[in-house]
Amino acid sequence: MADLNNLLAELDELQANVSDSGDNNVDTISAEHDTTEEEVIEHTVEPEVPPILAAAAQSGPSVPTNNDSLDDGFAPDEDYTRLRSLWVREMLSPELMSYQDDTINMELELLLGQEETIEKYAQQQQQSGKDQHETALLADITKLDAARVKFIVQDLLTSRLNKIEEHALYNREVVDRMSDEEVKYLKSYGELLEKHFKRTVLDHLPKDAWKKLDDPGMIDSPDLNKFVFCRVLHERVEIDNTLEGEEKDDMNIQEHQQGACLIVRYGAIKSLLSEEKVELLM
Amino acid sequence: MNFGQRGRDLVLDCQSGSDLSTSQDDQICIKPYKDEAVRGCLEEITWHMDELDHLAESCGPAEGEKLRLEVRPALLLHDTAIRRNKRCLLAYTNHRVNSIRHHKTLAGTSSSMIPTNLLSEAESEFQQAFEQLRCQQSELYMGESGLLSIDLSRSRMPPTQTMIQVRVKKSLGSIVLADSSTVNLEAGTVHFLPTTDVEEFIQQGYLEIAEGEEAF
Repeated sequence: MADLNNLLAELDELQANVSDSGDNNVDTISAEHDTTEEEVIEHTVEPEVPPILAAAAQSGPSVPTNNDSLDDGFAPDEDYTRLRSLWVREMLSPELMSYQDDTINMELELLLGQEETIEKYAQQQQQSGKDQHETALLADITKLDAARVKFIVQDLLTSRLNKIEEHALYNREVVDRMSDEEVKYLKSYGELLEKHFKRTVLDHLPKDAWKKLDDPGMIDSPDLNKFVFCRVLHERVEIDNTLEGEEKDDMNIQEHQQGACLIVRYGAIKSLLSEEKVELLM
Repeated sequence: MNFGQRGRDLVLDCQSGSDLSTSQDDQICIKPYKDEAVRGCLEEITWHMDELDHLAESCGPAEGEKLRLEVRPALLLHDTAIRRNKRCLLAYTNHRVNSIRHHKTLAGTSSSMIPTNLLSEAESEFQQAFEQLRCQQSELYMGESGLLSIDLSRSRMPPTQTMIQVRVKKSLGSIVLADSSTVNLEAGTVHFLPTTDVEEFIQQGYLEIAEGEEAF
């Protein structure tokens, strides 16, 4: 899969090296056959960044602007990294996590921009100018990047909807973790589910006293005793493994250093996760 | 009378078994709805209620008096039996609702509807209303221009490539792709198409991914 961040940076670096070494650049490639003979293939390479790619470097959203990071050859996209960590956390935790309005809305706007860019490249391709192949390459790279981000956003939002539906009655108490659209969805889904239960079972019961859906013990809640993989981010954390209902015991408290990878009950690290002292691992 | 037997049978039916019915695309979806068992359970509840009324009328206290002690165990038994049957019915209904949801939303499953012969009338209506609800939720993220298509109706497989080589297993005729071009999908033909346009057909079984040398 093409890495837009590195591709243009590597081309720039190559061009800079070529201009420093002089006019005649000979790229020597040695190839060894299965036989004892050696063939040396010599050809002259004069790399040149096409103008359309140089223009894309100026306008593309994924190209890093910090010049220092170009020296390393890799500039992590912070927004994408944040989105990915949100996605991993949502996928692996048994309960609904808090909705990160800023990150998701920004990624949706970015996706919209990329879709418009792809549309523009498609129109340029139809005009069949001399830059047709370069336009096609740019369109493919942009499509790959958009598909990657779109999949993560889609899966994140779908996971959240699945969790909302799985424990619809329980989630009425945690609406502060949802966006406005999700709250409306919960209300609509709750009404649909209640209508279905009433039609199938409750309306056939003779007395109103037996028609309740929220009797104690009837509401399913997420299983916080599920075991998860996690890594410690903070210098030192204390994890209390005491189960709910048990007496507190110092023997159940364990101390872990930064970088430790653990398998723990989700309930024991729930508060540490919200403080970002640990992260869930896939 | 064996109280609670019908409720127990419904709950046991929720376990996975060998008698799962398959849809036309050979994906196991859901067991047929046990209409008679559900009706039997509801009749048992009605019988318990009638017994409670009979006990209350014949052995009930006069005004201002408390209920006699010897009547209370019977009343408690019938009330507990009614609540137990109610819980069994709700558990059975909830399990089937979850099966309908998972059939639509899990990654890799077909996007087609569960055949109505496997569902009750109420479940068929639930399935349609649920699909509509998910589609409405997807439309909220489309943006004003309508260019952005975030599909929340189901989970998808991670994208590995933008274009994919596919072989047609069942004829689909001519279809129009997202870039307005047309392709004729006749059985046995091999095509190199955008992944987003053909993903759903692959999951429905009309196309298969053609990998390896036999694709060329």
